[in-house]
Amino acid sequence: MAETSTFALDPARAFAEAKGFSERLAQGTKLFGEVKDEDVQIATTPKDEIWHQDKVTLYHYRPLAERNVQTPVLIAYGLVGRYTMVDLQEDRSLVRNLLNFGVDLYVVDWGNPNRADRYVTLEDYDTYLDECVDVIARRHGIERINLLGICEGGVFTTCYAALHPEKVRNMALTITPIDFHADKLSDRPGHGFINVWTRSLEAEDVDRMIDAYGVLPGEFMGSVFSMMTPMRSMTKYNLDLLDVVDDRKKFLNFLRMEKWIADRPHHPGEAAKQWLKDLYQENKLVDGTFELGGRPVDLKNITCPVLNVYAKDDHIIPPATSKALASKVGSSDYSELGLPGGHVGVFVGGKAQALLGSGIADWLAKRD
Amino acid sequence: MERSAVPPESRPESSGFPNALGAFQAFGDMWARGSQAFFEGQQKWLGDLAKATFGEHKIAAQADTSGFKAAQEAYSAALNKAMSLSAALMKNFGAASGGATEAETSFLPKMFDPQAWWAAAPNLEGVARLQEGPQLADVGQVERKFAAVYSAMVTLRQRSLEHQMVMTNAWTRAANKFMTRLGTGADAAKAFSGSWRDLSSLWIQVANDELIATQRTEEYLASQRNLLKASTELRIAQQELAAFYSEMFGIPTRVEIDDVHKTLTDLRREVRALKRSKSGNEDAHG
Repeated sequence: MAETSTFALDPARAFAEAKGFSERLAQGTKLFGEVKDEDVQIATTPKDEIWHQDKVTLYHYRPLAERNVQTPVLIAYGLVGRYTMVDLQEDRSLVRNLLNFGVDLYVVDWGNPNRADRYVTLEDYDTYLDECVDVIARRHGIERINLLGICEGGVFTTCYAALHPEKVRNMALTITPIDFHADKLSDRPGHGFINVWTRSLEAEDVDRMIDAYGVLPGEFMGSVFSMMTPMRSMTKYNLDLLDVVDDRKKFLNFLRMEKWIADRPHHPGEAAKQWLKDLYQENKLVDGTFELGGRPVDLKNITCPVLNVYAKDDHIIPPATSKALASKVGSSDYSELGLPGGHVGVFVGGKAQALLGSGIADWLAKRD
Repeated sequence: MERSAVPPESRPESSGFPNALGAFQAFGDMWARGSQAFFEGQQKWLGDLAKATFGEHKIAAQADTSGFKAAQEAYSAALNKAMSLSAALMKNFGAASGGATEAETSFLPKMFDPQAWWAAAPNLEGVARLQEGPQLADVGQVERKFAAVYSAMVTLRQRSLEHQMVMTNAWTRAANKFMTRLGTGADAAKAFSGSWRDLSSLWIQVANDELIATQRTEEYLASQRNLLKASTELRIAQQELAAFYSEMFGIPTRVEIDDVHKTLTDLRREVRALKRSKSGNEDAHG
């Protein structure tokens, strides 16, 4: 049995901690009062709208350096979260990194779907993506462009490259799930919980949820993400905030990330059914039975060069679920890049985000 | 007579709090028992409320309120003891450090309070939003619709409590593991260093590991699934009730609006296809 002294706090340390705590609180209170909304802007890299349809908008980023990669790149993020993650702030921006390497860059913004978009399907997003590719190709007088897919957006570009191989010159994927059941290959605690959780549902559960809400609510997915790091989610607004509140730069970084997290759009209902049932539950993409618009998505049809980037500590998209593409893709030019960090850290972590930008830019330049 | 879950040497009124380890373990066990009693009582109470409200109408859950009352009292007593114990534990922290610091008084009680743990539990945030809906007073005289909504509410409450039990048990396991690690092994030296921050870091690590392990259990996944289904069914029952009134007053129903949205989505597809066809023809003809 433990002695009473087990719980004894050292008076000197307790006093020092209390003093530090008080100082931080004072500084934090001052900072909270000083920080304005304009100090917490995200996705600020200058860009121009060049095409718009329904809720989908295509932007072209203004160049920051002499062009080094001639073939333009289209970034496609998913519907779970928003593309602003790739341009969170000036010194943590995949967009800026690529622009600084001379990449000609476009991004598609899927907008903010709501219940009115219940019947929008993944086929519709394939069509929107096709429109974007055509618009860019026409602007540049070329037939094929480069695609950069991120997470669910990586699945979109993968399907697109399989269904429209004649329009894709190179495809880079980041943190993209291909084999949705490959999480079973790893027993790392906390990794792949979304895969496990989704498989625990019945197909009818998903259908009824979409019947009830018309969408996969953004806050619901936010809640599922929070479940994956339970104590971290509980301490972020006390302990974590306390750690940054006396440093203006860190504090603003914290707030920018919070701004991105809070901006979580709803996932259109019918598209969510396909995402959860066809892919997460039935794993149709990897076994070749997934269809869009009645056309099977055959990964062997992807013959363009493919760069598959994964995060080594990704608990949302475990590396094995991404790396499964290696044995499925039809391309003879397939390579992987494993980066340190997690699902989001790979884009905003100091070391990883620099490696990500240079890795993609170098890879594209060699295949331009 | 109810047997106290707290060993005499660990009760808050004991001077000097001589056996904190045993007290904390007992605290964890007591919380689980209190929650179990609360859970069981809730089932009976909800069933009885349904019976009292609907008389002869058949509602899924029916029971008398005496069980709920007894369980509620037992739970309240257990909770009061737990809170007293928790407060004494915090007081002991303060006394040992020569007077409670701001951090200790503001954070430590919350850190070791299972209720605070619950309130912060992220998995409930989304579910709580999903549970939002009209109260009983909104449903008026539409008995059948009212019964369906009420039945769905009862089921949701039941599923919610079942899930809370899984989480409460996880908290108990985490608390016991935390105390074991504090008392033995390499972590002891760290905990002995006298830093509340070290203490909280250890608790966060232990609790996180336990929660993540719990999330992988069939028990947790089943209770989550049941909770999701129950909240979905409640929302659908509410919408059917709303549709009744909408039709009565000539307001478009959810189904009708969905139908319009489906038509709009189909029309947009046709417009896109026509535009692309037109564009293709123009390209073909130069």
